[in-house]
Amino acid sequence: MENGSPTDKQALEQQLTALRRENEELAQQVKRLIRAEGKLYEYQQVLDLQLNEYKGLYDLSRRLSGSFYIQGLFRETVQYVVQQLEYERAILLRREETVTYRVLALDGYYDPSEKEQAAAITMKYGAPCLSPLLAGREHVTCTATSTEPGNGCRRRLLMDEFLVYPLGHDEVPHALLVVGNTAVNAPFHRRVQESDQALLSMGNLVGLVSSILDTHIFFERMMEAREQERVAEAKYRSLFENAAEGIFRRTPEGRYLDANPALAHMMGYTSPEELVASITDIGTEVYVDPASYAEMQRVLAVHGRAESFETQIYRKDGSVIWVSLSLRAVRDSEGKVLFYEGMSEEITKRKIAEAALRESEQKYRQLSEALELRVQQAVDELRQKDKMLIMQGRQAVMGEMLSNIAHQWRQPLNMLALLVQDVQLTHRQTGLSEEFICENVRRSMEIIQQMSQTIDDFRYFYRPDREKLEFTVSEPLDKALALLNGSLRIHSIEIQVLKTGEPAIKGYLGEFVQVLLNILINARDALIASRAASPLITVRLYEEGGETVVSIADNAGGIPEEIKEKIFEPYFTTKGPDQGTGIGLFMCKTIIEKSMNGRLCARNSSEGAEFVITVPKTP
Amino acid sequence: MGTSAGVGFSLHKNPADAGKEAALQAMERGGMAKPDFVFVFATVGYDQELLIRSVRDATADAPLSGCSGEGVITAGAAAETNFGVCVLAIASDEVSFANAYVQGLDAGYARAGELLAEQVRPLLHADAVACFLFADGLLFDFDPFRDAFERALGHGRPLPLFGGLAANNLSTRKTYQYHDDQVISEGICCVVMSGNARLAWGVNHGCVPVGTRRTITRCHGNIIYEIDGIPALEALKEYIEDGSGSDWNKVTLNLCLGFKTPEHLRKEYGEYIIRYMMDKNDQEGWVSIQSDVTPGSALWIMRRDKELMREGLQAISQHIREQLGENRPKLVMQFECMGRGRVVYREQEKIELLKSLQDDLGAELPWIGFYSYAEIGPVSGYNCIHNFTSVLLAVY
Repeated sequence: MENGSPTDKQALEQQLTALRRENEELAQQVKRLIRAEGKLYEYQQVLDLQLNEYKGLYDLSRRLSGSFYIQGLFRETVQYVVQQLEYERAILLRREETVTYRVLALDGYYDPSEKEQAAAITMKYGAPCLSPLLAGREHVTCTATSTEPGNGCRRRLLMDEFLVYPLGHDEVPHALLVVGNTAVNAPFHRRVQESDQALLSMGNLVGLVSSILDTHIFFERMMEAREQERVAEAKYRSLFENAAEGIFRRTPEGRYLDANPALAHMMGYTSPEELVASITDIGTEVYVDPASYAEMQRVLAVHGRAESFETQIYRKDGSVIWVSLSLRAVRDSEGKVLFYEGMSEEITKRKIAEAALRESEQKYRQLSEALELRVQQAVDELRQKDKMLIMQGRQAVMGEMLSNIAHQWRQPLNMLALLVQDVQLTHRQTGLSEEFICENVRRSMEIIQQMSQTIDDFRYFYRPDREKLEFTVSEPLDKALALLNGSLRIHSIEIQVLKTGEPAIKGYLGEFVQVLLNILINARDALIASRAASPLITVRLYEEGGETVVSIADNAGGIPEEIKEKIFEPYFTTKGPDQGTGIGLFMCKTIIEKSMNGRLCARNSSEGAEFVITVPKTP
Repeated sequence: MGTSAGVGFSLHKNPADAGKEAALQAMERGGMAKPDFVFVFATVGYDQELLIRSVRDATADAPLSGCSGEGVITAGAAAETNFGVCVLAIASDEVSFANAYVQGLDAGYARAGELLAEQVRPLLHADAVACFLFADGLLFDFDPFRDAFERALGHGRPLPLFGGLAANNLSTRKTYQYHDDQVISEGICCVVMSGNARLAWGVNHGCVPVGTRRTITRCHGNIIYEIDGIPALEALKEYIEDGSGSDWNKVTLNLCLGFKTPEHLRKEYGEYIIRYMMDKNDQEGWVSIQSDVTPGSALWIMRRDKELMREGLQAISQHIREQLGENRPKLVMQFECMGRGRVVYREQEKIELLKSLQDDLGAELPWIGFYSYAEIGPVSGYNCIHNFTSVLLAVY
């Protein structure tokens, strides 16, 4: 080569340069290939991871799609998160009736105390921890460095980084899936990151589980509905078979479709089947009264139902029973009556009982009317007796009055006798002068006038009470005292009348005088019997609270305590059979309380008895 | 009785349930009421203490060893997840297992090797067959450890070392090693297998250079400061999609470093030894690997090649079957680089590849393994650490 020509050398150098350049280019290509190969291996790993995940997801989907066991779904889900997605921990919480979520499955908690703590976790849908979900986010992300969405979430979940996904497509999700890691173990697990790529796996899982969960929920609800339907059917069947009442379905045309044993028994058939097969026209074969059946049909046609329709029906043996029927129409979607369903209750005993009751009510009514009549008669008799008693009382007082009149008339009569004898004597001795005659006549007439007044007073007492009058109390009091004046004076009994105003009452005057006389006579007799040193009767007249009060008090020592309660009873007397009738005070109380709507009571004062009459001014 | 072995497996997230499930399954499949020894490989999402406690409870406190991995491997399953556990339960009157551990690597990896050798020496008998090692994968330099360990052990012949470096799924700053009830980090757990057992194994990576030869111009121990006179990170940048701003964990799964295989290993292992860059420093521009290097060493930027990896596994299978002859393995252990799992294969591809391998050797065999941060297995009689490699061991 060294001996080669310059041209050869130049050519060789050019070739060498070209080769070096080519070598350099090849070296660069190799380096690029090396770099590309590194990238290829990286992508290969990522691809493998993704394939592995999709295979796992596919297997999970296949396992879950064949089962409707929701607990299994949840358990498989948390296991998948831990085993396949390689998060350290997973919790699945299911919504209860309220918006509270409770743990239904968990994985990755291997310390027993941590597992127990995690199993007790509850979450409310509105809790701060879930606030991003409420704000419309698809999930809650709490990375190792981010601020936790609610205070204490990390501590409660025992995760230092976590994701929360809602499961199911309800507005308030059926379940929540929480996945994450503790800080100490996070380097060995899939990290919680915000990027879409990092969340793709969880998104795929949540999509699958949500879909299956929705199907589960739908299935669960369907099963619940079917179970409820089955229970309802069983309950209905049990009620139908065991009910005491007859239950049936019949066609609108009058043929039984179905009947329960109770109805068959009620109607005398051995079985529901026999009943249904035997009766082809309810209207003619069952109802005793065709009009009743027609009415039932009419009511059903108009109202679609009939309640407590009472009628008589034939039993199989031809005997008749009473039943109470309740029916309703069952219609198809277009409103056409498919059949009537109804209940039948035998009420024959009730009907018999009702008839018996009606009969006894009639008897009772008759007895009641008779009794009422007898009571009325007794009342009338009592009233008559009262009247008679009052009359007796009045007559007794009248006797007393007559005695007083006799006493009062004795002196004037003696005076008249003396005046008459004086006429005869004077005529014989001196002759009758005009002046003497006039004087004698004047004096005689004066005496006669007095006697006449006495008669008037008596007549005042005795006059019949035809109607109620309004009168001042002092008027009958004065009359009574005038009538008693003689006997009071004889026994030196002083009368003191204390009057405030001019109290008046409305009532029967005669009867009121009778009351006053009775009380005054009793006071007089008590004073005579007590031999009081200064016998005194004090009469007070005044008004109080719209009532007129008449108080008659004596100083005879009072009513003995042992008889105080009895003095107003009829036929009670302390005067002995020759002096008292025992009806005076009873009569007084009857007059004041029944005729005058007032009150009469007796009490003892420090000196004697006091009788108080209280009568409304306008009864 | 011979040897009974069974493998159980669980992906349960609850550590108590997972450990119990895997252990009981292992014992049931091995047909035993109580195992003599238990290997456990699990991933780091679990509460490790609870997990190991549940395994111990289920296995009546049988001696236990193992570590955390990026994933676990058993018959028909290769689960690269944060929650996976597999348990190998062994009951045998012909093979015995004894375990030891050291914790703390601050005194240096050589010192750790010496300390572990002190623990292991009393367990060594003339019939010792092999040692299993499970070490922290975040900070381990194998070469000084191995040299000190083998020297301190003073065994007549070097015991073959198998195992892997514990992984953490890139999600925590810790890996875990298991020794009986203890769960430790920054430690090395060791199991000595003795008795009537023979070994058949294979080691294969599947990486190819993607450029011309490079030279380490400045380094110290397992740290490479400069390549071709520029900072190591700068030299790698052009192979990285987003430059130095890219996720280092992903970068190191796609790119690795290849060194010329020493002559004495080359025949069996191939032209390049592969090294995973377990750490870097953006300010100083360096990267670190799991074995020591010297300035002037040639290196190549390497990439995984799926076809080569597939062919490599088939070669391992073929190789082991040749060693087994008519013998049926008592159990199989697979220490698989995490860079050969889901980061390169589609999930379906990975499972099919694994099943193909398992079908070749025996579909019903007790098979346990894990995805590691580095694999340990002898090549040409020398105990080596590997990256981006599959180490498959059949005990028969």
